[in-house]
Amino acid sequence: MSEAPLAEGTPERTAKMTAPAAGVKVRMYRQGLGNCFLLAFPARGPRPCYVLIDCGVLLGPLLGTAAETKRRVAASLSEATGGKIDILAATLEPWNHVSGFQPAKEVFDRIEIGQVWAAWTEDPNDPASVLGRGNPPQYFPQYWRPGDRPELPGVDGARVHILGPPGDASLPRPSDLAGAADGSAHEPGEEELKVPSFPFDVTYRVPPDAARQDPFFQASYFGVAGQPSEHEMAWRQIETEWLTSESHSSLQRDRDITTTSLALAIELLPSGKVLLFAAEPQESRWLSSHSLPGPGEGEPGGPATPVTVVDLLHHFEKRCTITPDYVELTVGEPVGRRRKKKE
Amino acid sequence: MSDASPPRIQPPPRRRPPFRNLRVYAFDPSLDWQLDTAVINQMVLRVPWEDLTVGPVGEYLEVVDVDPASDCCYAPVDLDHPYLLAESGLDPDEGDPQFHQQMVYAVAMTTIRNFERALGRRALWSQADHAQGFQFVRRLRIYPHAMRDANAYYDSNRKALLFGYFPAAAEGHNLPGGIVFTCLSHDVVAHETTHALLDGLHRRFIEPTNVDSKAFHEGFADIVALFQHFSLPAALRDQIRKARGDLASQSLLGQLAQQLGQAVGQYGALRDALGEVDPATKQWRPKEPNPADLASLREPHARGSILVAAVFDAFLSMYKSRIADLLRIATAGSGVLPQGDINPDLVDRLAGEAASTARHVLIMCIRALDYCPPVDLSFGDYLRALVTADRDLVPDDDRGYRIAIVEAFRRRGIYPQGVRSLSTESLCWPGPTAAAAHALLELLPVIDGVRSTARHHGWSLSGDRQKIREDMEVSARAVHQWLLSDSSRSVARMMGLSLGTTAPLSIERKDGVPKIEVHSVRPARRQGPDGQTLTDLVIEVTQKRRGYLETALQDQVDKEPVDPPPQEDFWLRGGCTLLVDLEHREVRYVICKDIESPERLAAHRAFLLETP
Repeated sequence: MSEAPLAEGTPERTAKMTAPAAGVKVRMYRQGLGNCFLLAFPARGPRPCYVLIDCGVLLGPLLGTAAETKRRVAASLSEATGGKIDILAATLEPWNHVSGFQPAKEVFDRIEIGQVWAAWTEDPNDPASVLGRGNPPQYFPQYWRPGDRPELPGVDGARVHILGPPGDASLPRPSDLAGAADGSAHEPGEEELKVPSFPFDVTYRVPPDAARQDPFFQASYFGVAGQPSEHEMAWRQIETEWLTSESHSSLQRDRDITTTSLALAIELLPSGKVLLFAAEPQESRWLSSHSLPGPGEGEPGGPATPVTVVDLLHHFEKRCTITPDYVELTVGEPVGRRRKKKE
Repeated sequence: MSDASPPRIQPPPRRRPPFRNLRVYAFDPSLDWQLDTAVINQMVLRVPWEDLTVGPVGEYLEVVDVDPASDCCYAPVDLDHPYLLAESGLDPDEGDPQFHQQMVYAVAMTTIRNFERALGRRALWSQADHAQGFQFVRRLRIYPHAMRDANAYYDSNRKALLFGYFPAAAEGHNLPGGIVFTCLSHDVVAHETTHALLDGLHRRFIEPTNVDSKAFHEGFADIVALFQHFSLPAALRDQIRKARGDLASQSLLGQLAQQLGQAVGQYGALRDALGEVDPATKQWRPKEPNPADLASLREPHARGSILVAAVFDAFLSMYKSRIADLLRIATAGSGVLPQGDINPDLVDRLAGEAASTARHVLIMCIRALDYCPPVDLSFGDYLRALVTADRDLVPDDDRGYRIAIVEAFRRRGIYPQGVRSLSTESLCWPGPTAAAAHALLELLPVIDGVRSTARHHGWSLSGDRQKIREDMEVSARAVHQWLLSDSSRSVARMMGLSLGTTAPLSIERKDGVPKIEVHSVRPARRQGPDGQTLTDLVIEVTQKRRGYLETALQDQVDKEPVDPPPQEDFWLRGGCTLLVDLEHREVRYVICKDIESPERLAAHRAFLLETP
């Protein structure tokens, strides 16, 4: 993977987020709970096309403790987009399976959503999907499979490729890459993804609402709603831990898990750069080591330029040691233009 | 008499049972699926009896089984249910979350008990650092199903152990895609509990101040998990029988977390103290000690494994010397075992020797924690602590254990700094110089006050832990007050502290006086030369100093008063551990990390600047 030098825009704290003339502007919100990207593409209409790629900041389930954070991000999003997000891509694994849209109510009270994109594994009607069985979603997402190319409304300069989760043995998992040396690489098929996602039989599972009424869980974990204990116990709760699990005393160095989150690549047409979005940093590592669709691939006469993958997460992480509310980068803008700006 | 009911017969009072029997996996569920290991994999742990409520929630632990990633909770197990009491708890079953709760409780309690027995006092968790100050944490929280992840960890902010679960890869004996629970691995639970116990003893060890800091935490946790294997009698006998007494060959005893290792796509256990599986041939091969590893391995788990290998190597030398006579007796003097299975009686005797050697090594490793500096520990420091602790435990080294330890560490390039030779005597921490010993006599009246408090509650294994913590704070305040008095100024420098007017201004101050923190005042029991039990007092005092990556800025802040001082790049911590003999009224060891040392400052800076 080669990392292209990025054209860096100065972080603007103006209310409205504008799109560059070409390429895309990317804003990353960092709240310590996964990442959340807002992208502004130049579009044919008067306003840019706004795409929100959420990896758990807003749509993360059960984020009761982070309500304030969510409100702050939601307010900023509302200002930046003028109240309308064209595409909301939920890359987080079981986003509607667990929670529906309830926890994100703050967001949707303020912002209109054009389309919701989710991974095929969330689709309750897909026979191979196990994650989707749960509450019917209040919003009706469009479910995508690897190889799909959904359109960004009004945008000419970018194309979206859905890369994951693997649904047809098209992509390897990290452990397969490790085993590939001896030729025993293991291809995950739909059969494997059908393995029940719950660790225990339904007879053992107690829904959280019932547990909140139970004296044991009240005394040891949730506290009593409306009582001081509800807040006093928060410091030991682990509601969001599974989104970010990392700590100094972990058992092993590397995580290596099968993931079922939506992964997508956005190809910027004039520059040939590809932005990769995946919920897990590790995922971006394995995806980028795999062959990506080339620019213009499948189109007769399309240019055969090499793909440059811009690993945003990695880049942001390197640059941002101190965490402001968000940082912005502009990608795929012609270099000459940037110089002109500086003069 | 109007009351007609006849008097009831009073049965004689019954004593509380000393143990509660609970069934667990000896290793992890994967060994249940193989005929040759299934028989040894289910065992009963004898956990010290305590009154429990559902959870289980006891004196040290509370198991809370919430699973946010699956959006549900699991009902807490009641280990006092008559059916469970009659049957040594639930049957090992991967599909029953209540068995998982039982197993994490039983294994964690066993680990705690090993710690308490080695140290002869109650174990305390580290305090919660809240906005309103430090708070006593009675129970460590355990979440057996905290996340979907091939990982488990100790979270020092929540004072909790978090265990993950995940679908298995297709290697080894796992069902591909079947769910693997880290909380069902004996080794993983012991490892994580040890992190929590170590943090309770030395809360600064979690801060990475040198390349060994995190590696020590990992290595030490692995050592405890590994040596607990030798307290599993059936597994020990079985493995000794298979290996024909040779513990240096591949066996379950030297390996950690079989199922997890295979489930994440390795060919063998997660970690192996003795060897490794060649990725090309998939054959196990012993690992040769390589001193170059110490310079090249910087990742905490890999580096920690050097420490594990050193301790395990020392253990093997001790075991070999202990069984040499048995082998000669069994082989009519030749020492060469005949072909085929060895005599079951010999297996039992060898297993007995292995178990008691392992127990000794484990106790030595745990007791050495009382002989460590309070901050900035290195492997070399730990070697000195081990040797000193063993000398206090077994005054005459007639079996050559200490030599075995030094030899094993030397073969891996682990040397302490600032010692003249590798003789065990020069590796022991030095006592204070005559002048220092004289000056430290000043401390004794303070100690006497502490002593009466310590004697009162005594930290005995039956004392109330919250009271112990409170008493410790009273003692700590007394020592703190003395340190700030004029008479202590002269000895402060000998303790690696800086309290005088000339102290660098980068040292944090309170009301214009350099701040100090008395971390801990706790008793450590040891055997005296003629068999009597002696009590030492372990006192840990620390100080912190603003550190800057730029030396010019450092010099400036050190010398000129700036208010407020510029934001520090790091904190340099220094201080000392004092061991005071209460019977003979003398300070036995002063183990310090000098706060003023320019070399330490430079080393810390270099550690932060080096690119991993």
